[in-house]
This record gives sequence, structure tokens and C-alpha cells, in this order.
Amino acid sequence: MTSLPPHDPLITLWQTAPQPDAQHLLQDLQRLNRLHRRLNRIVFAILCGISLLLIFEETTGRVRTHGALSAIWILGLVAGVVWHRRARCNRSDALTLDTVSLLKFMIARAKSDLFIARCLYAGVPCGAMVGFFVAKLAGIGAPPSAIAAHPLLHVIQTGAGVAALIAMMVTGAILARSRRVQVQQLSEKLRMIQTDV
Amino acid sequence: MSLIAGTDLRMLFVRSHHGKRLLLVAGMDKLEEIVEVHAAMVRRIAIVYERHPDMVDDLVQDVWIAVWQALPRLNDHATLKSYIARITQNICVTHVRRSLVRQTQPLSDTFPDPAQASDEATANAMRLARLIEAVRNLPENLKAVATLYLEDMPVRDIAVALGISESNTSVRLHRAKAAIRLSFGDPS
Repeated sequence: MTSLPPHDPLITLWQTAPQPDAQHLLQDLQRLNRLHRRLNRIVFAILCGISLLLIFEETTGRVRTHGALSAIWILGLVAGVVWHRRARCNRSDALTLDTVSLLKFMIARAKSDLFIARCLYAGVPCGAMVGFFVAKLAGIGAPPSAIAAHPLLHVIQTGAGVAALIAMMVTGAILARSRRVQVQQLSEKLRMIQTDV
Repeated sequence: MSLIAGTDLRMLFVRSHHGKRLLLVAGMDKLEEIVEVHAAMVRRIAIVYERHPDMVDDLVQDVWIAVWQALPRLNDHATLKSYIARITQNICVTHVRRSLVRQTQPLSDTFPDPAQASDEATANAMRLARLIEAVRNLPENLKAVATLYLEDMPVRDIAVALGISESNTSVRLHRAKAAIRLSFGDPS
């Protein structure tokens, strides 16, 4: 393909930049592709393993939920896979949108993430406390005799619940911090790009 | 006709009868060709938005992964350069967001000392470094326009890529060129 030589000396100067190593770049792309596929396989294997474990626990009667837990887990898994595939198909933002539209899209997404993050670090402990008191009032949960029979199991379950709660709060706090900065910076950038001269 | 006739680049790795992954050499040849032609442009745009060499590499990889995903949908060979430039521009905008979160310390660029500019190549490299620095120092609204202009994109394509009007693009371009020339010590 031939093109006319650029008329502006600045363009001529700009395009004298040295050529990067394309071969090295291609190797990196192939390596990233392999890593991405490997990661997908690992995640898939872990999710399948959890599903099999749940099904096994319920079919052997060790967990007395009569298949409800497995059904909820598998439904959630299917919904997650469908959502992931849809999100991947719609992830054409950087490829199809102009810069201004992309920035608006990203600000909207960052605000939505910020809301989810706030739910994690503020909503989760509130929900846990409400759930605890409602369970106490309604008398839901393990009877004192069961706790007395397996005190170690009760401690492990409580500890795991509290650990999960703390992990969700910490994740939410970190996510909220980064998304707050994103919203702020992207809005500033959009304002600068949209400003008429 | 698809740019890469009959070849989905995402399917470069296929499973062989022996269960191993093979590389479709023909598809990679096409990708190599595109990378060879446009790699310099992608890198030039990336270094305007990012100083740190490792992060420039990350940015370039992000751009090529996005281009890789987009190529099967691209039908018009003539618009490939504008398309890749637009993707690069958009990825660079995203990258600024991430680098701000990470708060990394940029490395300072090293420019040749003018007193040691003994030959034409060194002098040219020095002028190029000054041009890159001048574009980096432009305000965001001028930087985006200037970067795409220096890639020899017409004003209309720049306006479409950025989502602003053509008249606005022209005014910004005029101001960007004036600012760059001023930094070169050429007030005209």
C-alpha cells in the first residue's frame, strides 16, 4: 500500500521513531493467550469440583438440604457463565466507541462498581447483623444441644463466617477506594476533552 | 471480505488429534504482517500517555489484544490504520485511569545532550525526543488531537475517533501545533 508523503515536517519527524521488536511482541501475545486459557481451565475445574462436592454431600445425606443447595449453586453457576459470556460479547467498548462515549461509559461503569463496593463494605455487615437478630428472634439456627455436642464445629463455622464477612468488607473498601479515584479522574478527563475551545 | 480471509485470529490455537495445541502458521503470518506495519504507530501513541518503559509495553500488549479480538469483525482494509489508532487512543485513556490508581513513579526520559549531537541521527533523535515531550505536556484536550494528527490522520477521522465536532478538532489542532512549535522555539 502506498501513501503520499506527509506534508507537515512535524509528522515526518514523528514517524522517524524507531520500529519496535514485532517478533518479541507476538511471542508475548501468544504467551498471554496461553496463560489466559490456562487460567480459564483452572477456574472451570475449581467450580466443577465445588459442584461435585456439593452433589456428593447431598446424595450421601451428609448435608440435609435435599438437593436444594446443589440446585442453587448450579443455577448460580449457569447464570454466572451466561452473564460472563454476554459481558464478553458486549465488551466492544474500546473497539467501537469514540473516546468521549467510552469515557462516559466507563464513568457509568465505575459508579456502578462503586455502589457494589459500598454494598460490600457497608451493606454486608448491616445485613449480617440484621440476619443474626432475626435468626435469634425467630429461633432459627442450631439448637443449644447441637452446639454443646459439637463445640469445635460451632467455633469453626462462626470463625469461617466472620472471616468471610471481614474479607468482603476489606474487598469492598479497596474496590470503593479505587473506583472513587476512577470516577473522579475520568470525570475530570471527560470534562477536559469535552470542553469547547 | 474479511481482512484475514477465513481466519479467526482468536482460533489460532486449535486442538490437534493428539490433544496438543498447534499454531496455525498462516494466521500468525497475517497477524505478523499487521503488527509489522502498525506496531510503530501503536508504540508512538502509547509513549505519549505513559513514560515508564514497562508500562508502555503493557499498554502496547493491551492494544494488540484488543486489535486481535477486533480483527475478525473488520471488513475494510483501508480503514485499518484509523481503526487501530482509535483503539490505541481508547486503551490509552483507560490506561491513564489505572496508572493513577497505582500511583507509580515514572522514570525520567533521557535526552541526548545537544553539545554531543555530533551526527544527523543523534540530532534527529534529540528533536524527536523533544517532540514527544512537547506532545506529552499538552493539555488532555489538545494531546489526543495532536497524537492522532501526527499519525497523519485526517481531521474528519480524528473528530470521529474522539467524538467531537470537526470544527472543534480543527481549532484544537491549530492550538496544539502552535504549542508544539513554541516548545521547539519556533513561534511561527
